[in-house]
Amino acid sequence: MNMEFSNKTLAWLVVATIVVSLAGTLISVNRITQGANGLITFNTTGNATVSITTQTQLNFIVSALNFGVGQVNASVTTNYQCNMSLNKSNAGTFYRAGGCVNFSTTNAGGALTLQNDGNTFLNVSLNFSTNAAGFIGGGGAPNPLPLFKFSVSENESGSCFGGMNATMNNTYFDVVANQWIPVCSGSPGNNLLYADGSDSLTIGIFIGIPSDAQGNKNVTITAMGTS
Amino acid sequence: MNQNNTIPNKAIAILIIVALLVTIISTWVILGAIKTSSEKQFARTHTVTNSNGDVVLKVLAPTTPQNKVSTGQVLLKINSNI
Repeated sequence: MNMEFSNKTLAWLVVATIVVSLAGTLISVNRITQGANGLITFNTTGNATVSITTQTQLNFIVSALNFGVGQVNASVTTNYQCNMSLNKSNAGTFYRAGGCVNFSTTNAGGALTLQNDGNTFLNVSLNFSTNAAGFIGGGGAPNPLPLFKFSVSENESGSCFGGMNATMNNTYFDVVANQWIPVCSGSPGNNLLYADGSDSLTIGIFIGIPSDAQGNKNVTITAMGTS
Repeated sequence: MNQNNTIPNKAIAILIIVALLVTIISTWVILGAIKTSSEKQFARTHTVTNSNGDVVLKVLAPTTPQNKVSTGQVLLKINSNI
């Protein structure tokens, strides 16, 4: 008995092989692209599965700095000005110089403080709604121009991983209106941490009030955290 | 010559080559699908498994950077100088 296969039979076998290969590919790709849904639900009894979603959260935990109500006694100082400031080193008590009359001596909660309340690193930038002229005003001769400056420092040691921006740390800078200023960001790995005990920054504020400035004054500081 | 040999050997050879190509391409497509699926599954997540291989902790990272803002205020009232 001749057991050799004919060429026709071999051809059909090859065609069948191609069909099986294509079908297997289609089925495999279909199963794979459905994803690994349910991977975390196959646990046996006793296994706990936890999913933690990354949360981006940045808050002013001291959001208001109120210098209170007062006036400038131009006769007390030769430069017709009252200077006040509050930063981390002032320990909650306003620094005052010149002809400051009345005004507050302390601020509730201390200096403006930003805290990372999420669970991811944040790049932090600040934006001021106006500058010294818009906020304080005045400055007509013989008075000096108004001053409005800010500084940023770590409220808790080690909060800004990689260190504060080199020229920013605890040094006062003139406020520029409506400009985003990176304070703990920029360089790779330079971020505000989130672990309690090392996740907050202090925003120091310095103002110089000319004796011709008057009225209610208000400026908004917007802090943005990017994860 | 067997009368059943109605398909020439050249055609059989071509079919075999096609089968080989289909197999190679199929393997390549499957490997690509596995890679894509893995990237989809793990690029946005960080998982911790126990000794049994069960996922016990999964942290989902945001797919795109997120921004959050908070506002503070500086206030004062200046009366007429004296």
